[in-house]
Amino acid sequence: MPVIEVKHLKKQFKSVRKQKGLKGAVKGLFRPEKKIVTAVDDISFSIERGEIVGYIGPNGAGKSTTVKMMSGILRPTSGEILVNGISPVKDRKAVVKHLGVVFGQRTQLYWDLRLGESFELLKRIYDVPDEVYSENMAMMDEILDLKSIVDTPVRQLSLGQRMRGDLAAAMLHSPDVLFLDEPTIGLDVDAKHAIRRFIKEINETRKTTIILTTHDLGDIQELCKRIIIINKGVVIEDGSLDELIDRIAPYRQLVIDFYTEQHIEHPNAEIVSCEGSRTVYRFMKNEISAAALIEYIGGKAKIKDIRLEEASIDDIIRVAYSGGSTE
Amino acid sequence: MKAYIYVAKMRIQTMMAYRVHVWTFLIMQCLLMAAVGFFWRAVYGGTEAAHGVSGDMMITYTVVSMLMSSLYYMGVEDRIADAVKSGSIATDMIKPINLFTLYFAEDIGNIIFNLFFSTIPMFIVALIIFGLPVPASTEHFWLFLASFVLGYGINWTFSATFALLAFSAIDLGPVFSIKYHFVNMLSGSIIPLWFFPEWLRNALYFLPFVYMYQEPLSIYIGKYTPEECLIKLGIQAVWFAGLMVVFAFAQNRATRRVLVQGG
Ligand SMILES: Nc1ncnc2c1ncn2[C@@H]1O[C@H](COP(=O)(O)OP(=O)(O)O)[C@@H](O)[C@H]1O
Ligand SMILES: [Mg+2]
Repeated sequence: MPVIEVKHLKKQFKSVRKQKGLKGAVKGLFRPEKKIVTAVDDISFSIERGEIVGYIGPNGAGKSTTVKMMSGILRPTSGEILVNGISPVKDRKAVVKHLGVVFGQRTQLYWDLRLGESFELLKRIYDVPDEVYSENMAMMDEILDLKSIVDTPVRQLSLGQRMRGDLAAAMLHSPDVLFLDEPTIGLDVDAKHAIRRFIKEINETRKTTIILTTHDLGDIQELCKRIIIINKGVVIEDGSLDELIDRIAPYRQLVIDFYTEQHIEHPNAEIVSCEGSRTVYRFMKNEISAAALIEYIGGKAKIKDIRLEEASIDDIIRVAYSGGSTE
Repeated sequence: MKAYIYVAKMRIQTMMAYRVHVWTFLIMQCLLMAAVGFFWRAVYGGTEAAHGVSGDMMITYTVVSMLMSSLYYMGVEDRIADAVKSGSIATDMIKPINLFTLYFAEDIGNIIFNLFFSTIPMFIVALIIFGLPVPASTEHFWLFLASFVLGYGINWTFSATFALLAFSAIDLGPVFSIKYHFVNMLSGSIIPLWFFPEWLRNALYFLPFVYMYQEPLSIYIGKYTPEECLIKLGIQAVWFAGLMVVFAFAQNRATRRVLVQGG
């Protein structure tokens, strides 16, 4: 049984458009000009236990809105959501009991108090037994280095420290589903690294199901076997990363450094660039193997160095967003 | 329950971090109390009593009203309006708790803080300027306490119902502060109702406001016999229950329409 099931989810916001000037303001008071924004149009997916799914898409695609509906914060206009078999629309509290949520752009920690106070409160809210609490703290401390920050008031924490605190707060009650909405936004390399390591660790040791929203390609590459790409409120791709690469960008690039400038052509390889002694070829995996291409070129000129590049996730996403193919 | 007690405790700690604001607020409240007290003393001057209330009773009314208002803390409206505007309502809603119980616990924390940092210091100032604000009798004092608690219940539920507006409309502007002053005027917290024109006074007894300040205070100064007091407590209880029903109903509808700002 899937842990998360989303069927034909739709969310529209009615917003009142502010009108200009005093006349507009008065008019707006009596006859507000309503505008309907469709944030999520028609989204369906289903996620199995233990998956880490990258939920990606350009700004305004509807990612955060989806996450908010799945966590019972927003009510869908239509469609169906089941988390652990329970609908967050019908029973928000039952759903969030087994759910951890982190919004990278805001914090659930108490700003004016030491970090530890927020943890103590959550322990009581979720009724976490003492043994489980200290076990979880110890496990998280190892990766997130919480001991050094628990006694600091949250407002004095750096962004990276605060995010570590927020992640720990979301995992204190050992939820089996975790929603992370841009958890690495604005963080430096070290902080990102710690957070990725943490996500990997809890997924491996606890089989936590994770939906991760991010613009960071490193996050996706390191963590997500499956990605769902959405744009304008609809799913445009859903599949394993490898499969997506094969389908949308099934090419590779071969970078060859010669000792002198060369112009060696091959019918199955396109020359992308040729600058000085370096030539870059692009070829389709199914048309020629890298080994055959190297052998062919090596037979024509002496090779100094080679490098093989897969299409980057960057390329995949760009192609997917633009709704076209590589050609 | 443990969680809500902890929320109240955290609230007290948070308030401690902002003590400086509290001192300035306290000084202002004391000045206001002294000003209103001296005003009534001047108004009464030689006259013995007006509307069956003597000058001393009026000062007691004023002092106790000020002490009450320092304990009638209701942050729920601003709390919700801010949470909706800033989007932090999202982090309140990812917890398996009732939002309004959470906000109530925060207000209780604030009340406990105010008791020590507002009510007691104000009481001491009042003691020095006007002497002890004695209740009509011990019996009246206990009846007052019950009425005070019911008055808070009415006040809080009314505010919380009002606060639900913040869930759907985003920019309410000065609505809450207009409501605050409205309630202040119509509840008799500054000017008792017996100074109002009769038609207005009669009308106001059909609204919940008088049961927030006027009636508890009237009980305290002994305007009613103990039997009458019990009837007043009964009416308060009915208002409280009625408002609770309205609130519960409205809460269900409003929380469905929650709007959350920002990513
Ligand atoms: N409360 C709201 N009122 C009106 N429009 C909103 C609201 N929240 C989000 N939107 C709109 O819905 C769309 C999707 O937003 P969001 O889900 O935050 O995108 P993402 O997280 O993918 O960047 C955007 O066009 C945004 O402006
Ligand atoms: Mg977002």
